[in-house]
Amino acid sequence: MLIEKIAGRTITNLWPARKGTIGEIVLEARGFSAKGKFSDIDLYVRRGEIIGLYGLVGAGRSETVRAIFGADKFDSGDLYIHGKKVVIRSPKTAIKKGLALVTEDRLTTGIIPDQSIRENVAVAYLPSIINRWNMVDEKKEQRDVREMVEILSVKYADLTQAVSSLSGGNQQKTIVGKWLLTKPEILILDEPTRGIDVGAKSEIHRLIAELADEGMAVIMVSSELPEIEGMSDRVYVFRDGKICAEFKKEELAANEVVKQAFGIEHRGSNDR
Amino acid sequence: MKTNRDKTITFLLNNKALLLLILVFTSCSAISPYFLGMTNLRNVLRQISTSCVLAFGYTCIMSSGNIDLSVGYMAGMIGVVYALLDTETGLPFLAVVLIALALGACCGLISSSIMTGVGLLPFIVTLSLGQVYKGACYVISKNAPISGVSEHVKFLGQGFVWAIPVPVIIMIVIGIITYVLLNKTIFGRNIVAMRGNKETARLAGIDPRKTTMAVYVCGGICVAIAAMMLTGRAASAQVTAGQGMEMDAIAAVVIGGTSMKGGKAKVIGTFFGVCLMGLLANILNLLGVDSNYQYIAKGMMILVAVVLDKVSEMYFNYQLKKAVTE
Repeated sequence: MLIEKIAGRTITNLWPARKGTIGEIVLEARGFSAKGKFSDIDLYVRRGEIIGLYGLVGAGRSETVRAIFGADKFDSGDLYIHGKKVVIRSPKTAIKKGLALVTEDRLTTGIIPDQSIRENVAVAYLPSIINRWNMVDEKKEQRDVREMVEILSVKYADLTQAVSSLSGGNQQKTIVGKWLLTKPEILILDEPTRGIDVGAKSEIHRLIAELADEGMAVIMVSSELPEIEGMSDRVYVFRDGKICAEFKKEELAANEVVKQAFGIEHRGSNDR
Repeated sequence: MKTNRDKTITFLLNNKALLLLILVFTSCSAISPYFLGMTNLRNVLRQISTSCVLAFGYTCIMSSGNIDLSVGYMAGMIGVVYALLDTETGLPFLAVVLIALALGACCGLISSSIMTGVGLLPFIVTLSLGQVYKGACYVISKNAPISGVSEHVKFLGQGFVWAIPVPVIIMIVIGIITYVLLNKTIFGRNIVAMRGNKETARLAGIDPRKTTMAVYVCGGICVAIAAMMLTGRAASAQVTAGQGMEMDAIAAVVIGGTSMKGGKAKVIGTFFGVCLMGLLANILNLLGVDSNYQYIAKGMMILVAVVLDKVSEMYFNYQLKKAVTE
């Protein structure tokens, strides 16, 4: 198979099997609106669950998750974490509340290109390893970063090499590693495998599934239907800034999902 | 594979400040017989301490990718206020020092608030504020130097502690604080991260506004300390004190290897850069060269530093490309 030749190894299950159980609702968003971007977004994600946000480019998915993360301003909307209302207006607060966001465009908003792997992986969790004088515990940092890149199987030569010298897939793993160090409860991924080779793609999918199995609540924005189908426990379909459909894993039928995303009327039935 | 030639060039470019310093130092010793005298060297050290303190503050500002063109006039203004508080009011010395430091911090706060709040470039904001400080300085001093300062004030500029000049002690203390701040604290890491990619840093929980403001406050405090040292040394507040110091500071920081394009802040490099500028001025004095030539020499030194900085960047990019394609 061509895929195996590219990846250099046998890829058996294209989609990882899920072993964990789904628990209580961890995050719920109600009535999120931002003029011109999205309106009346209601969604929730549970412990151990992967929800997929599907839609065409420009449907408002990235904008919605960025607003939830406090990265962009929005007009109205309430956020509940473990049932308690929270107000998140900055990434700093979001991180404190247990959120993490792997952005769509890793080169411009995911990595600091000229800095080392170590600095990139540590940048978000530094506040948790400082002492009374705001000095960074560098030994702990070195240990934690090394452990994280090893767990994620990042291919690198030296932790001091510039992160821009890594391949796309390894850069993405570095970014995920950065966020995992902040010990989030809710991991938001925006197009996590875009522009990444087949081998790394399946590694990242496996990683996401493992994280969910261990209890992480995962929100995954993706425009790739197979990825949405293969990974999600539930799917929200976005169209023109609104959620127009919600499908459970059992209900997923590719053509229905696509039709919702495009807004095509189902022939011969009453429809919204 | 890094060839030996590559390794040598990398070493030279990374340590260009120290190497230039050694070069200039040995040349100076060869050129003038007075150079290596204890009195001369001690004078040079004392003279550079003021620029050095300023340059340390400047290292913080430049490593965050910013610039401050108002420091010269700020120093003049703070010096005047400082001397006036000392000579005209009955306030205790400690209070006067604290007010001067607070003034420096405020100036930094004002510049950075305007910059980050409205979204303007540091260049234009600090340039304009510099003019404000210049005017304020002339107005407050009524265009005349303020002398008759107390012993405490003079001590900061001329005193000794165990045979070491006080300015040198201040320089060393500030140097250590700056080094720790920029290299060991989370503040320093945030600065460098912000410089590397502002949006990524912001999404990682760093507050660009707060970090920028803190950087300028540090710079302002260093300006205040430098102003107090200047006033102490001259035993008076000169109206034109400090003018042009920003050029020396920029030169020292750039020569020292702290690039405006990012990367680690090199505090020791800044120190070497200041020494270099100081030695340059010193040798020209010893040779009896017209002091106006110093401007030419310093200007050329800055150009050399900036060009070398660019060459370093191009060279390291080329190395990076080579490493990736191998």
